[in-house]
Amino acid sequence: MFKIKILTIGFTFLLLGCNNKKESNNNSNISWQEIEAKAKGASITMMMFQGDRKVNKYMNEYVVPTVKEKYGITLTIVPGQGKEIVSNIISEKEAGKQKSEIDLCWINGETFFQLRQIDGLYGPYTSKLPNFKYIDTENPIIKYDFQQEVKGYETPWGQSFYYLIYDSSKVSSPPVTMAQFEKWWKANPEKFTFSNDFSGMTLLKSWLVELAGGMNTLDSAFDEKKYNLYAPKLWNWLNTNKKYFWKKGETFPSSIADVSKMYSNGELVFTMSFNDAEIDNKVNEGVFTTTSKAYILQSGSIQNTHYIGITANSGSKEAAMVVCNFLISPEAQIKKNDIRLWGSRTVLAIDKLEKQWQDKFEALPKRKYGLDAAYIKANAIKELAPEYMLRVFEDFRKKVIEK
Amino acid sequence: MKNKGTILSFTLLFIFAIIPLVAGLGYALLYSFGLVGVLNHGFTLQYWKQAFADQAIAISFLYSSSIAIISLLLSVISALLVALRYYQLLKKGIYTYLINLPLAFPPIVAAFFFFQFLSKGGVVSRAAFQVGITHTMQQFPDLVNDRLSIGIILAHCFLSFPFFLLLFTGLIKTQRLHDFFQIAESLGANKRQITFRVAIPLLIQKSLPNILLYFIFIFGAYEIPVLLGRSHPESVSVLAVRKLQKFNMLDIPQGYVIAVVYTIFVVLFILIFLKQKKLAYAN
Repeated sequence: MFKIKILTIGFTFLLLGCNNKKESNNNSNISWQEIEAKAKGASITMMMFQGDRKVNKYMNEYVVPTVKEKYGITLTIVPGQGKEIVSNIISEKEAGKQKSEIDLCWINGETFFQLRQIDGLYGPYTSKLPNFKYIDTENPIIKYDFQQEVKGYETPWGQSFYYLIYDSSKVSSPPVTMAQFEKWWKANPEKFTFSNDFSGMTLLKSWLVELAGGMNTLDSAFDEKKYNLYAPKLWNWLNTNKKYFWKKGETFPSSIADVSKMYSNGELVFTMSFNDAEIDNKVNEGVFTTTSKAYILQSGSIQNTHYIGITANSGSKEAAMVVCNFLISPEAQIKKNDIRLWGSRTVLAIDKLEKQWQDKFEALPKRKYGLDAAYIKANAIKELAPEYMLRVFEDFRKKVIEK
Repeated sequence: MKNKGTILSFTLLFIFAIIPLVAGLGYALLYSFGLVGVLNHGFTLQYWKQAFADQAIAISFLYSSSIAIISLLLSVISALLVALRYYQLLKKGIYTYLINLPLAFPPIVAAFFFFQFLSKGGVVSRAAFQVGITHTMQQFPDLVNDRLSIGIILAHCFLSFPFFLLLFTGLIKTQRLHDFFQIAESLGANKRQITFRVAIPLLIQKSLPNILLYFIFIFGAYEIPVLLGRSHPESVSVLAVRKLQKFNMLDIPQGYVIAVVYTIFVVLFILIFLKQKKLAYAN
């Protein structure tokens, strides 16, 4: 009896903490000057991926002191990405917390999709940002985040594209089609694998696009019929060939970092990246050999944009907006684009900028190992709808790993 | 006074052990039945059905148990043998430090250490290449992320062996087992009989609760299997964390299902162990 009482008390206590309140958010009628004035003196927190030294340096040594100096905003960076951001916001909602611990978050794709599903993001707000006029809004890679229209709920921050890296001293002409991959694997067993994470799944999605007939064939919302038509072919193909993969395809590295590590010590001959500057940075640091080269598949390169979102329960949306506006200023974007600092491609349309900024962009050092911007743009595959990622991730486990 | 002490200790136990356990388990239960959670819409059995639709949970429980049993067998047996053979030596300075060193390693460091050491591009493989035992990296055997989980088992043994060695040498000292050995010897037992019929049964009996608790520790381990294991099969913790934290938010309730099953398993295990402990002392 006593136990039942304890349980009942426990459950009631829990349930009490679980009602959610929606906060209406509106900043629609105030001017930008007023927003900046309100932002002054605020302290806000940004949750973002902190696994890259250059990215951390850009944030901690440039963005944080500059927003403090220019706008009087104290910006704190905390580590966390994707699912962690979503889990945090879910937990706060479940606990009925009114003011979120996170004000800004670095997101895209399924994180954006999931945060929108749970009304976790503030918006639409981007049209209020004075620097938003410079954004390359016609670019479908920026306008749609994994096929979902952004609609002002997140600020474009930088662009990424998917490419493969190979060691040209070991591979003369890298495979660009599935048939060529098959041939290469057979001739070079155990020298290839991909990670069981976002990077690896993007390679699978690229092959899915190839199976479906190439660029644009899997655009727009998730199509169950198409998926059921092409995905089984992909699993069959992988199951037939995985015996030529690293460790005979019986296991896959859990993260792309592991693949890159094995690439750098020569255990593998290919790795992949979503970080435009990675190949140049890693070669310069001596981690990758100078014979490393970047290339994309014949079907194209999956590309996406990463964004900054403001949480719906942020305690200082004004300060968050001011920081967003700063992050898309030509000044901040030039530094972000600079391969010596971060090397992520800008979201600004260069031709919309004033001449002085255009010149500065033009004067940036060129990539030595990375790929040319125009070539990449011409071969862009828009990121598929987030459901493709979820399905590919799940089916890859069930139909390939567990087989 | 005694009564006051009992009330205090019970209150502390209640606040720090029972409430968090009941609250945590309660929350996991409610979540797994769709009663709490932003994306849930009320009571449903769907997540329990989904979680048991494939054999992932059963496989991971079997896998984690096997790893724990094999690791414990290896480390307990070797610790027993070393403790009995080198008991005198282990009492002295430097050896005690050397032997206890691995105890200072957190599991994640141990996991990294074994990865750097045993992978195909690791230290051992490089040494083998340099001295001409292997000619390509591929020739080096699979010792991490391998089919037989050798890397995981070695890492667990590395951490648990000194623990058991310390435990056994301590027991030999505090329980004055040497007196028993001498009695056995004077009664005409030979070395072999002393070891297998007196020393080992006594040590195992005295340390059974620790061995069983260590089983739970290895069973629930996360860092070692996540770094040194394969994509499939997965240990229980790796599976639960994948469901709770990877891409699909709709898998979160299934993560809680695993947490509930895991808690029930551990609680049952402890209940059985308590019974065992009573038996051990009754003897």
